[in-house]
Amino acid sequence: MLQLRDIYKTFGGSVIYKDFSIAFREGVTTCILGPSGCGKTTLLNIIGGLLNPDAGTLQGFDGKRFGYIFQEPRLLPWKTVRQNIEFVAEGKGTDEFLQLVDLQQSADKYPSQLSGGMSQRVSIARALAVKPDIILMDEPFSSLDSILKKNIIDNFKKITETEKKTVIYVTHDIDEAIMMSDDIIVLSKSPVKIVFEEKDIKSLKSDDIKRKIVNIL
Amino acid sequence: MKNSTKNIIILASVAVMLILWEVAALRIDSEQIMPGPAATLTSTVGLFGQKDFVAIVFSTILRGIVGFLIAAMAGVILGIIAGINEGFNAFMKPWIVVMRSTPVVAFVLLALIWFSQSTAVFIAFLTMFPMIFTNVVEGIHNVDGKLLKMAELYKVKKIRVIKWVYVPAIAPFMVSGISSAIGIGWRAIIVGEVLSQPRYGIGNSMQLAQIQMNVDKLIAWTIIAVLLGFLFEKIIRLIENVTVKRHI
Repeated sequence: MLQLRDIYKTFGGSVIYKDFSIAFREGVTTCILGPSGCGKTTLLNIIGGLLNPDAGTLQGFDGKRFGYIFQEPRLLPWKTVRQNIEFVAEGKGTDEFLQLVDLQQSADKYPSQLSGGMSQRVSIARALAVKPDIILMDEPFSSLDSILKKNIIDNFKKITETEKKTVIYVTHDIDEAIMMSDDIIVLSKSPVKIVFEEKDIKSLKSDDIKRKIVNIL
Repeated sequence: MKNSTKNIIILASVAVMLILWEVAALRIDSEQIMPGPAATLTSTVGLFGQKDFVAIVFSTILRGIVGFLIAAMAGVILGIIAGINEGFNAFMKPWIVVMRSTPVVAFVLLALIWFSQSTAVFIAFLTMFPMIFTNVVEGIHNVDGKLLKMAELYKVKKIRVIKWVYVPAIAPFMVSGISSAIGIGWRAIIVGEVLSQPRYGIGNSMQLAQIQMNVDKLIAWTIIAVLLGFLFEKIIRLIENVTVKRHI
């Protein structure tokens, strides 16, 4: 179990997190849903070690390696697809990861020569190439159209399920969350609280889950 | 506007310049004070045959290259540090303000006392360094913060971030800084040579021509200096096209 306990975090005088605790199962995809600006990205930054909480502890994250997938692909425009992966995964090999996202033909292309979906697949390959224990994702599919989104999500799930990766993922899109995750946690706004939590949602009817979440949000 | 039309306008502009020059020369009517374009052209061609022409031009170019290399190296390295570190940038500010606002001639006069022979190199450095430095800092401040955040999250080593993110991102700023620095630095070197009088140099050849009232030779050396400045500018643009090819 990965845990954050009694987290306290302020930003510019306002309290974002107060006595906040949350736990994630390892080897599954957990989606954190919540309204915009409720502090979801802050939570990912605390987990990834980019922000320190003012108080509280993190358990189970020590020595873990992280991969990140952002809303926009954040690729170096002057480097090829292969070099973009090498940038973060020095000497770890790139071909197998490009193959995973079906981009081996585009290895020597530049980001400007790729479509939005292809660029996002590069960022997925990049996240996997660092051989992460945990993948953190911040609204990674929100800029993609629905057909492409479904394709990429299917592809991504296949990879993470085979490799038993722990994925912690924030979004405000309920359908996407249900499509993507094993566990769902819904947060409310400042100070952040968990208002809904459901594990193994695959064993439940997606319509029921959706209704419950809509009622809460 | 079509390129061919632009070229015609440029040629017409040069023609107007030459006509005005010829008219002025005819009006003054003294080869000694104002030689016409034809006489000047003859003098310019004549310079190539002068026995120490290569030594003179080469010496000035060498001073320019040495000054430029020192300025570029210091400007890029210190610029990168100042761009990343706000404290160092604040530390550098007064130095840059002093270098930018002090008249070149004041530096030349001081350098004559301090360095004598290397005056022109010192002047080249002082005029070029602030431009390159300032442009590099500006380039760093324009680097996409999201790319830096990504590198930080992935814990990419700082030196690798400099090489892979900062340097390509600042390259266009660097080239523009270098290109304006060379324009100004080149002129400053010649001023430095006029006053420091090294054995060979375009600057002191110009002054010699002036003392001997060889106005056609003075203008001829000026033309050589302008042509060399233009050539350097072209070389920089060429390097820019080859190395700073950004795929955006």
